[in-house]
Amino acid sequence: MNITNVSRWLTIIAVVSLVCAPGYGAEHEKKEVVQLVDETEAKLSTIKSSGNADLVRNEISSIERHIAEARKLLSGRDVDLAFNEISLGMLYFAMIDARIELKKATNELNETKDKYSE
Amino acid sequence: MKRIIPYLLPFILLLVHPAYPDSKEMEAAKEAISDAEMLDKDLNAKKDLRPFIPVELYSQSQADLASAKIYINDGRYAGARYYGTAAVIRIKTAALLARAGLARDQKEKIVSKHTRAAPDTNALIDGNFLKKGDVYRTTIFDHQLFVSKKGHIFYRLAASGKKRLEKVIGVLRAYPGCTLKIVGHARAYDYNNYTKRKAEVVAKYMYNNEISADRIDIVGMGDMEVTGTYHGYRKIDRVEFIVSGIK
Repeated sequence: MNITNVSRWLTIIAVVSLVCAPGYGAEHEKKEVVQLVDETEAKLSTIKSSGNADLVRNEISSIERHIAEARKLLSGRDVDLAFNEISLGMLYFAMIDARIELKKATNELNETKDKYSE
Repeated sequence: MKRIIPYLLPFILLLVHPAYPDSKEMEAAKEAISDAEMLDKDLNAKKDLRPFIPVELYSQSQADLASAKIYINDGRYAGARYYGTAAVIRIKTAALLARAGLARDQKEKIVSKHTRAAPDTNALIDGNFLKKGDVYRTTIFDHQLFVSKKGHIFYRLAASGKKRLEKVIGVLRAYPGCTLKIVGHARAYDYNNYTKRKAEVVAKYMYNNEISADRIDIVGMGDMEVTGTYHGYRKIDRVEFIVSGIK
């Protein structure tokens, strides 16, 4: 086995491992991820136009950042990473609900304190 | 040059292989995990919040954190960053919900503390208070309240009188916002303003029982008012208690 053959085998191994690497076997379909991104964007625009937009400003900008990153990854064909990004963005909706819930609870507590002068 | 390319190509391909650590991704993953751990520690340090942490969400965050650690040990940094960031978001959400839960609990405690006063209308019943208009009134006769010997009344509180006054004090405690007017009445001439003085004896007992002087008003009415008895309206030596401010 001369040196040229060794290099040929190394090339084959490298190409095979590159193709079979987990990062390159997409688990999600692009269409599915694009739909998720669109749905997230639509839900976000509803929140932005609601009365709580100021209260959840930080969460809104986080979701926007994840949407932008997901779109960028989709254009680069990193479908799974795009799926991860949009999934993270979607987690912020629960945080928005929690923040609104906290605001309501705090208001109710303050009103009760005022009512009973505590 | 043509001879070098076959030797270089495998190395170039191995260099672009995804298994090679992306230092930026690795740093982001480490940062996310460290943030999640810090937030988790902070949340658990707040003893008052602990009972209100939503179990399901918190368990998910812990599962995310565990996955992130497994991924980073395997050198799968994108996955580690994903799970680490998910843990951060879920812990922050759990903390917000726990704070909301605590606020609601505090509200409930305030409401129950004040609505508990309602059954303490028992206190009003115990003290024989009757509602007249916006106020509650009760009357204790001098012989029930003060020390008496051979028909003569000494204006010192008797043990039985103190027991009766405890019931009036119970009403003041049950309704912290109410005020009390102590009115001394006489059956005859108000000698030496004694109707006011006996009201003062009663008030002093209340002050000693931690009832604020701001809530008590003392009046000596002399023999100006009559009270209803089985025998009709009569002037009787007595002390009247008028509680106002109960809604």
